[in-house]
Amino acid sequence: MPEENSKDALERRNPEGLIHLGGTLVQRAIDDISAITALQQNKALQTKHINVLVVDDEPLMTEMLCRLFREEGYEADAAEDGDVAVKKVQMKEFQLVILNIRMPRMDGLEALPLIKTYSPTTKVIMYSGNCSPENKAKAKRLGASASVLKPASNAEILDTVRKVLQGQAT
Amino acid sequence: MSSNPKASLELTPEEKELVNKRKILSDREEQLAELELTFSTLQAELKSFQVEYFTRVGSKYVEIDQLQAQLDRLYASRQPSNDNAKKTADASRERAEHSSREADDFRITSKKTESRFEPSQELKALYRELAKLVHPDLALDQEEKQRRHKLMQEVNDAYQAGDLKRLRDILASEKMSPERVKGDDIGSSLVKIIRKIAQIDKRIEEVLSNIAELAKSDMYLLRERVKAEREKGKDILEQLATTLDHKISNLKDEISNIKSQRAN
Repeated sequence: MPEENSKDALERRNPEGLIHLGGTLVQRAIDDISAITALQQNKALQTKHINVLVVDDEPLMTEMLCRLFREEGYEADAAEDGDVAVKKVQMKEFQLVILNIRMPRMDGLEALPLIKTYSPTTKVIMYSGNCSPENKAKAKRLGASASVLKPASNAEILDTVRKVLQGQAT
Repeated sequence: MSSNPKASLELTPEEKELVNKRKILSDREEQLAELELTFSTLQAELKSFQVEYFTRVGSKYVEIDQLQAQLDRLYASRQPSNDNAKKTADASRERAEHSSREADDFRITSKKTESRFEPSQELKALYRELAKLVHPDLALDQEEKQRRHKLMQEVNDAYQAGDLKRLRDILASEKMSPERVKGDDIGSSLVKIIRKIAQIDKRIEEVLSNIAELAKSDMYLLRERVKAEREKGKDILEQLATTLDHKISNLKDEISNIKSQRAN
């Protein structure tokens, strides 16, 4: 068989020097780009206008989580203890609160019933290094949707958030 | 309009017609030069885009196909009696060979295309002027047409290579050409102009259809997608490259796992 890819053959096919108008390598890129952009649009639609309040007395933790949520398209705000969190929930609608347990002034388990009273539709995820079975059971009784043991990977946090927002059991 | 109405009254009907036709010819020449410029620019832009595409993304598909073929071959060799595994390995090999052939085509273009195509206003202006001056469809005899055809190709090459000096040289030598100083009577001038207009109209149709051909190609479509994302501040080729790198690394891991299982 003659060598089809020789330079001469190519020049004959493309007398004006324009080589590729298509081919499978190009088609695959178009398909993959469509898939990537569809995924991004979907994600943006899912997370758009969802306000998340991150409550933790450790500023590094709130900063890291807020950045993670913003990168995913959520609106994120922070509170340094339960008391500030309750005040923020009274003033603004949050779809989700990420709540630490051990904090000065008002801890997470004290703040949780108040948050659920002021805003019953707000979902709460307990995020604490102190997720004993007792604390988990208490949090569930008080209306928390899930408890995640600190520290957790970004993927685990986001996965729990998605499930909770979609109303799935965790 | 003329400032001296008497002057136009003094023109014979043929002279008036000649004036009209000259105006039409000049408009068509402008239109054709603009279209040739658009076509040549689009060609050069697509060429440089496809080099960028192949370097950043296309070559990764080739690598993925080669790794996939290697992996499927390993699976098939582990289960010699499994016909499906053999079929899969054959299909993967064919796909890898096909991608590799396409990649060769891209590599040849890459060699010919040096950098991103961003024509200056001066380059464009020179091209327009030359397209009007030397366009093969403005020649009336066959010999001159052939000469201009070659010249126009040179103009296109110089334009796409951004070679200002070459364009200036061609322009200077063409302005001195004896072609430009032939005298004619009104009748034959009129016939010449009418024929030139007809030839230009034909070429305009051709260039329009060439542009349309390019604009409906997958390469153009891909470039438009990349451009649109770039305008939103996103480098979609980079994102795609990252996804493909991830696939490549997974395939490599899988291959080395199988090889180490075999060794044990």
